[in-house]
Amino acid sequence: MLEQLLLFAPGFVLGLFMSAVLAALGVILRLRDEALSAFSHAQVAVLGAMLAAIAGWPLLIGAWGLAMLVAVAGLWLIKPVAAVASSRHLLVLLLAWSACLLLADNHAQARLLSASAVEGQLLLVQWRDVVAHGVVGALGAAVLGGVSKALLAHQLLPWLPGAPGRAHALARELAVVAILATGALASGIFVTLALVLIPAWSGWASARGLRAAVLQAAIFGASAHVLAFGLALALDQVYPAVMIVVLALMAAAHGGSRKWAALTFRWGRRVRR
Amino acid sequence: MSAAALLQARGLQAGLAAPLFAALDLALQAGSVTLVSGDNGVGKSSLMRTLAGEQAPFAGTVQRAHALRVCHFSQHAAQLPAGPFSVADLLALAGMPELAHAWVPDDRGQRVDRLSGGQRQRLLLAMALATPCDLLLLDEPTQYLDAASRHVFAAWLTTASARAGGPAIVVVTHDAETVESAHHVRLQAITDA
Repeated sequence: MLEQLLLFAPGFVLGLFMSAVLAALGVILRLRDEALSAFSHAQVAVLGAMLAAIAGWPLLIGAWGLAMLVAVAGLWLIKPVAAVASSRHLLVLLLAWSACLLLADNHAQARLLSASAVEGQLLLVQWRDVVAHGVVGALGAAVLGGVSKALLAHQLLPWLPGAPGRAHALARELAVVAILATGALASGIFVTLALVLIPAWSGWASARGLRAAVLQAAIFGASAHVLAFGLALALDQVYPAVMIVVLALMAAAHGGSRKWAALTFRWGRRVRR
Repeated sequence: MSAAALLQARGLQAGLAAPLFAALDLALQAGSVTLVSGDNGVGKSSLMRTLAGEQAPFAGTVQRAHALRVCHFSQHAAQLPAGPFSVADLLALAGMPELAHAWVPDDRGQRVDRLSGGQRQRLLLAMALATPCDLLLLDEPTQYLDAASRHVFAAWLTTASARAGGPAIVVVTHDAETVESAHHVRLQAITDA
């Protein structure tokens, strides 16, 4: 058992870090109604990793490179086709998914990566991967933390003088893409999407403030990972499926406990009357 | 541009496809208060956007002082998206975490989406009035406010108009009679003109 724990320790640590960061990112994306963009950025990152695998380059470089290129130039290029941001992300998602299918059908390397893009690679990562992913994830989170205040202030209070410049928006976009690409390669596309969506949904209505919402989501994501990782190993099941079930159950339990608390409160008041 | 004018407009007409109101001349000095009124659809909000530099004039010119800081509080400013923002969050984002004003709720940990429309409008208006700027444009700032709050706002405007060196203030309002010392502008629709 100890041997197994040591073997999977890098994956556990990387998963813990990425779960907290992706869940916190989910709150920031939801504030701008951009949760769908996570799916498109993650799929493009997988396509980049496939191209890198075929070219014999490091996967991370391919994933980050293509995801950032598409975020900066690709979305702008297809602006005439789809004016609304969510439509652009949807179009990019479909194009990237088609390209992934074509590559997987024609290259053995790409086929292998296609499977791991769904399942993630957490159980296979080494400590050096933890460092590489961790550095990019931490840098992305730091940049995002630095530019988010000005962008959020302009979004919520547009009457304030001094709108942030394009550099702010670009830095934010690149940081978001870097985190999502890292998450997609480490945990798989669907766990990344679930981590961006579910913890943010769960705390949206109950958090007392912005900082509480981000912190609550990060703790939610990290706790789900600890539980899912342990269950996946103990039951010998695939981690992404267990993780998504755990996230959904935790969200249901959280929502249920809030409803129960509200009902108990109302019932208590009625009895006191 | 005249000596102390922060903004000077000559023959100004606003509108996208066609001019909405008759040509207007304006010179806004520091510390001045200008009340703009007019019928619905006459182009009051378009005028404010044009003065703010968010929309090009349909005709005429607008000259602004160098590095003019404009705060344009539009009539939709209080329509915040629902989300986990507390009063303290909004104040911190605006860079005024310690703002003391009767319109700021005592419980600063309270979520903004749990405030009533009027409370939210008062909070945001208090923040706008405290924002450091050279030109303060307020588009129907009192539309969701109760009578008592409208009086407080009118009193604030009267004080502001008597104070030298403050920002130039332009207010779109239907309570134009409330500040006697202010400069009044009534927009005239092209057809009336």
